[in-house]
Amino acid sequence: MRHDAEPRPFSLLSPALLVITIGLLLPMAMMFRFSLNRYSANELMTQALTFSNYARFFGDAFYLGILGKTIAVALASTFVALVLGVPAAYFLARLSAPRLKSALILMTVIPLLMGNSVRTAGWMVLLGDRGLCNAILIFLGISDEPLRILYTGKAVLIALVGAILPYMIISLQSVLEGIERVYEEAALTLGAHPATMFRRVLLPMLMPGIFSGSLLCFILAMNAYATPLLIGGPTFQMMAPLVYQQLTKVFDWPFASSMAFVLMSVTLASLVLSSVFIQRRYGRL
Amino acid sequence: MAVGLRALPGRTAFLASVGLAYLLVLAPLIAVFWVSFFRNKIIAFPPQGYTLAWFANAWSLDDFRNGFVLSLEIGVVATIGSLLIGVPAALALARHDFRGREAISAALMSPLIVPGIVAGTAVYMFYIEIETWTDVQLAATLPGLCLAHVVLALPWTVRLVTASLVGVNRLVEEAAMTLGAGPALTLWRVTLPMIRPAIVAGGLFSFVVSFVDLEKSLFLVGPGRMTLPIAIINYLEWSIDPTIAAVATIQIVIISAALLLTDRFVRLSRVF
Amino acid sequence: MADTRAEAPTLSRRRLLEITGAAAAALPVYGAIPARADIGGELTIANWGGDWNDRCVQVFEAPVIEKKGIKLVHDLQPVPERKAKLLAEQHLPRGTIDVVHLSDADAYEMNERGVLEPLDLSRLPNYQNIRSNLRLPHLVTWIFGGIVMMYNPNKITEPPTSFTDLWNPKYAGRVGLMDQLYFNYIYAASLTNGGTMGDVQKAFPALLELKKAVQPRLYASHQTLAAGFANEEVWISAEYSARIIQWIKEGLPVQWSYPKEGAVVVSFGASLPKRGKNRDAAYFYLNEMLSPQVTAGIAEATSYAPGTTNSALSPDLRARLDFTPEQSAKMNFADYAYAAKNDSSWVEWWNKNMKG
Repeated sequence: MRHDAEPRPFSLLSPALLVITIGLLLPMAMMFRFSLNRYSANELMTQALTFSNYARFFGDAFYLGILGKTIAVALASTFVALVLGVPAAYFLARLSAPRLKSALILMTVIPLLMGNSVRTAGWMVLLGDRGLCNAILIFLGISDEPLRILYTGKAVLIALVGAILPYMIISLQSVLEGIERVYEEAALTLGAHPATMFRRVLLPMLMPGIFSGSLLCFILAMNAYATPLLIGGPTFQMMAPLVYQQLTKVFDWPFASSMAFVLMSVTLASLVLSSVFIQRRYGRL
Repeated sequence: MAVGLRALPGRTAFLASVGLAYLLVLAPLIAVFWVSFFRNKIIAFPPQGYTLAWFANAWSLDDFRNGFVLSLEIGVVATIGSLLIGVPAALALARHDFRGREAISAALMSPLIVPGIVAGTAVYMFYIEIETWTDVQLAATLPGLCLAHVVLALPWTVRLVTASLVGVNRLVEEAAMTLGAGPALTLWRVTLPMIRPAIVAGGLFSFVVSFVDLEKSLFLVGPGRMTLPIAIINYLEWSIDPTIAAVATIQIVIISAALLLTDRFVRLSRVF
Repeated sequence: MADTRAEAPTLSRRRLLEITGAAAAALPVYGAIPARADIGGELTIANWGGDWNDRCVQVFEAPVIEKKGIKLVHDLQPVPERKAKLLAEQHLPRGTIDVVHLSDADAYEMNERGVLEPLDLSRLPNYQNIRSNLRLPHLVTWIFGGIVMMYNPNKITEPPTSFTDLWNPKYAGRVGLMDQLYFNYIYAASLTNGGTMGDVQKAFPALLELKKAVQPRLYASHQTLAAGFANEEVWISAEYSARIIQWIKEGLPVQWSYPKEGAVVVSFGASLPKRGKNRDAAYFYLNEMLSPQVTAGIAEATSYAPGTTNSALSPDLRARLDFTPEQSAKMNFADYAYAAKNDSSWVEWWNKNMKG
């Protein structure tokens, strides 16, 4: 009786599904069709039904290498963001002064508003050969001559972690807020070492946050465009800048589309794999 | 300071890693603030002196002012749009078990997975295709751009609100129903207030991802219409003076002021 | 170039009306009315944004075009997006852009892909003022420059004389290259190794040697290269002359020198996309781009050399911006057809070998 009065799931979902279908799913289906076409120097592409663009990608160690590097960078930056994000989120969640907490939340979210191209300009000033970091290192006598940080993998990792950390902190913090402090205190009162308490009590309860935060950061890092291009320099090649180059400079849309689908499939596959793994280990989240 | 914190023996290491995390998040922001006062005509360290001239320049350029206003408008539309369609979708996903639930949930999350430049190109080509079939112009129009931004923002609303709904105690809603409240009234007076923090958070993230989007908008803006991130990269093609730092500083100060004002009404400390 | 689409003058009805209109305007009674008072309406211009567009507006569009009562709408974006949009929209019944600003190579490519309208030269009396070696059938060229050597005089006291200075092991680690100029470095390497602009096969082994000898630093954009010079990360490069002159103006410690192989030419101008709406205003715009005052103004504003022979540039500005007759004589022009055919494979080679 009561359930009849409740709105059906379909009517609740249909506006969102309509928007997502027109605004993304159909366009992506079209893009997939592009990936089966053939490149032509005279027209945008010629109609075909071929997997040669995918074969070109998978048959070339160079492109596979870039895919591998993209995955490695995304994994590494997600891992660092997780390791740094857990203490930061814990600190934030357990702050009791509401003003301070609001301020810290704003300080977490506001850097996101800079946009990636401006953020990279900030990193350039900090990490360049004669940037602030090198000036400090030389002033302190830690190093005699400037370390080359900008335009290396290290710089990309630093900048990427800085860009995805806010998402990690917020994801973890929202879960931590839901965990009553009583559990931690009980464990500590009963004599558990803080590290044991963290591992045995907090970590299992924090798992949903770790899972969703890491997935989010991994996706953002896989698709990163401005950071690798401007901080890593052109020699630090990742997938998104490569797709961009094929789309807008070479105009090889079939190849660009197939690379985009390879990238997305890898992202999607890692999502599915990790969720299966996590569910097996920690139950459905 | 929290009780749990003081009890940690590795407190120094703990605080150091919190400090490092915030250093990585805030360092570029502080650098950009600082650079906006540099006298150097090409952004580089060390500063050759300080000036306010870049703020005057940033303010005098129409592209930045108009871009800021347009990005703000689109951000607001994206936020409202994604809440209007995202909250009902989250209700369906969290409160109903039906066939294809996982698939629909994945579809609603898909805008996160598609790289911005790919989504932008695909949507643009699709708009062109629609126009050749139906004569309805979406490419280079404001509705077309807004639709793309609603899609961009949607996963954030759906994700945050669904997570919050799962955590809400259903007993409270059932109690309201038992006391005679209809489903609509229960939704309005009981459920929505309980998930208000998630709605605010979803709205905030919707605004942020729309406001800073560059790659997806590149193809979808049209003549006479340019978002702020596009105005910034257009500017960067010809000069790398601190004007863009000044633009970012002004933009962040304005939006932070708006957020602080919001904080008076909806405590951000209780939102996340 | 085989494809000379520039049409012979034809006396169309519209043209006849214009002539009679002009004649009418010449009558004493109507003396106060501008000759072509009938043009007006809206004109959509696709161009680069930022300072570039601001300069175009200041020295040309506001004083010449808008003053005529033509309302300008700008579609501002980097050139790859501009080209991609032209291509994508080619099957639409409506045209969105009336005039598109392009470089010489871009214009050739867009024309080959069928999105540009052939220019009706009878409606462009000023076209004949374009320097003869810069005349293209699908582009109204107003300024040009070339790839020359760029160096930091505080670090390199002897000005570079040749593109081969990029290979000098003395500058190992101090050579900066701009990623998007890859094709110019391919040309430079070809010219210094016995190749030509129309056959660059010799460039590829030479560039690999360059990579081994000096480990060049690659920059993603012109402006990050400038920042690299400001930081003294790099001391030497090859760049567009106008960019270098502009940076000198901004106080960057750099100089430019002319390579003995001759600069690789780049020119800029505007074209007509197919199905543009306001053709009268578009032709007015294109023709006025070439007037002596406008070419002088835009050359001064952008630091390029005027592409016309009758530019009203002052002698001292001409000395600073224009090339000497000897330098002009040695200029290298791209073989557009060859470049367009090979560009995709050049990009792949560059990605794999210079960025790998």
